Amino acid sequence: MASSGLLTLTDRGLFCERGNFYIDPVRSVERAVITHAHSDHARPGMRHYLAHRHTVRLLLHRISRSISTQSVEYGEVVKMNDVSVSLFPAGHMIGSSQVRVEAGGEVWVVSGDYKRQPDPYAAPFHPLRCDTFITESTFGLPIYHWPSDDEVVAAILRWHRANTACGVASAVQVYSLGKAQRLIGLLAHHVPLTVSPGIHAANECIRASGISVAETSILSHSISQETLIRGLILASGARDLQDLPAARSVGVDMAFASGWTATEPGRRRNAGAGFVMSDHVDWDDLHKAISETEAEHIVVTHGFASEVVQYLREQGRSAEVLAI
Amino acid sequence: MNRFAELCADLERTTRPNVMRQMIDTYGSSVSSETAALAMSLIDGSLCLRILRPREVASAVQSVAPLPQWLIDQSRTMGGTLAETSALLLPRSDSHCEHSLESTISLLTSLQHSDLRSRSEVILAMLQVCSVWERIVLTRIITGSRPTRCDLPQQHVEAAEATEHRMITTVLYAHKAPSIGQQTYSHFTVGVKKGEIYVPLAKIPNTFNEEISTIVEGLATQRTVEKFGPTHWVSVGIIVEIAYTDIVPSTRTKSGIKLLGARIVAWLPNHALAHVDSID
Repeated sequence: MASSGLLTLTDRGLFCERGNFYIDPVRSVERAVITHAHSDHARPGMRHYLAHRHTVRLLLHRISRSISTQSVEYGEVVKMNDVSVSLFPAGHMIGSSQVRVEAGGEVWVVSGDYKRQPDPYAAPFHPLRCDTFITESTFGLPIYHWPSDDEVVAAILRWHRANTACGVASAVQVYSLGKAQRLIGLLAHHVPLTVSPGIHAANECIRASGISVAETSILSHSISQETLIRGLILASGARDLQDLPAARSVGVDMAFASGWTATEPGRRRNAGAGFVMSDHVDWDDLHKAISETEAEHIVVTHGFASEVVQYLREQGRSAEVLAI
Repeated sequence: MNRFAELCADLERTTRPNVMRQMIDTYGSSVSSETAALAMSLIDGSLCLRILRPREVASAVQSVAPLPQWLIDQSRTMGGTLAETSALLLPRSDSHCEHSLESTISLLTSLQHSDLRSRSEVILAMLQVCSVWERIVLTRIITGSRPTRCDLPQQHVEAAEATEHRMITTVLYAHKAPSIGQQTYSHFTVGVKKGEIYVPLAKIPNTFNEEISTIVEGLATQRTVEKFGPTHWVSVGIIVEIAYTDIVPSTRTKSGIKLLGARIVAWLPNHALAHVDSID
């Protein structure tokens, strides 16, 4: 990355020397700006955390109640030396943010993880004009196109109905934070939901922020076979179910909700059922986002960064890979 | 066509024969008996159309998908077969195929004696207005493949389900769990003897309880011979009893068969390799 830029990559992560802060650092630092609460972005051990207020509440829950934090609203400007830092919605999950960094008339935006599909719990992605845009590229190949939520919900319900008719329980394996709440928002009106304790804990934390999450049953040893079969289970892993007597009796069909199930090799790797649902941008939305930033320089990280960079360069854009 | 594509997708989301049968029955009750019969002949492979070769599909798609060849090649490493990757490379469409299954098949049949250019143009026009799953299913049909990758249940599925079969196997591969799980290994590939060697039979979720899982996972780690990314090759000797509902022939496995509804029953620490079943 250009050394004259506002942000440089160090062994601790993306660093703004003028503002003396890191974005989603990978090792302990004095001051961390956190894009969202997933553990590959929000790590323990920072002296001070700055994040959107919803993210801060999740950090206190997931890392420790004793960490030092600063909550900000979307669009609120925080001065760090002569650098202005503000957060804007990324659409990835509740509280997820892009980080806008401005100094000396230059603007950089770090996307963090983001998506442009609607999410009942994430404020919609907000395109920001900037000079340099640092974007993720988890699904940065042109074979990735996400179906609409309506299509995914319809497919899950058809699968659930067929399993129910055969006396088999249906469980969708999801991340306990983000994807789980998105699916609860989409499915709660259609089918009774039962969630694993980990997902329930995340729901409670979100509810404590004043955000309504639909009521669900919790997986426990006392759950009945009928509840398992009639409802839909959201679990963060197969282990959530393996010790439940009711689950052992009726049998459980396990499916993944993931963008990786969009292709046949991806479905094979996931060993079975899959519903194409991702909290990252697909190919079309990635390039739409890049275009809307009007950035002169694109920095690409995570996923298919080298492919996206080569494609952008062939389109006449200035781009480089950032290997975090 | 949309409902048929949904059925094909749904069938790939389960390995349980009775659930597949339920899906087929639900589809059958929502369409005419002629459509249901046509659908079944496509699914079981008795009706096979070959309108274009995979590379002809790829060539047609490349004429409308403005992507460099290197990116198409790279996409294929993730997208699977040439035909399916090509279908996925088409620009996103928010529409659905409005043709019925009968009219689609009728149109495809009428194309069989047309020249390559005419066939390509018609197919491309159809694919462009299809949803993603319709494209995948249509591409499979026009390249002479079955429209769904599922192994269809046998005629007497219910009887097979009622009688669960058991087999003694040895672990051949342990598959690292994705980061969302707590386990070290989320799946084990188990195998049986075939002559003097052991061949993989099924990749089965790790559903041991916590205590046993800790022991078996420890053994798998100790016995790891080589790692292929998340897949660890484990030396034979971890003996596991499995249950399954049915065996179907498969050309895609070394053993030549595929187990349906396979699940782990028990770790057998007191059993030796001599107890492992043979493919014969």
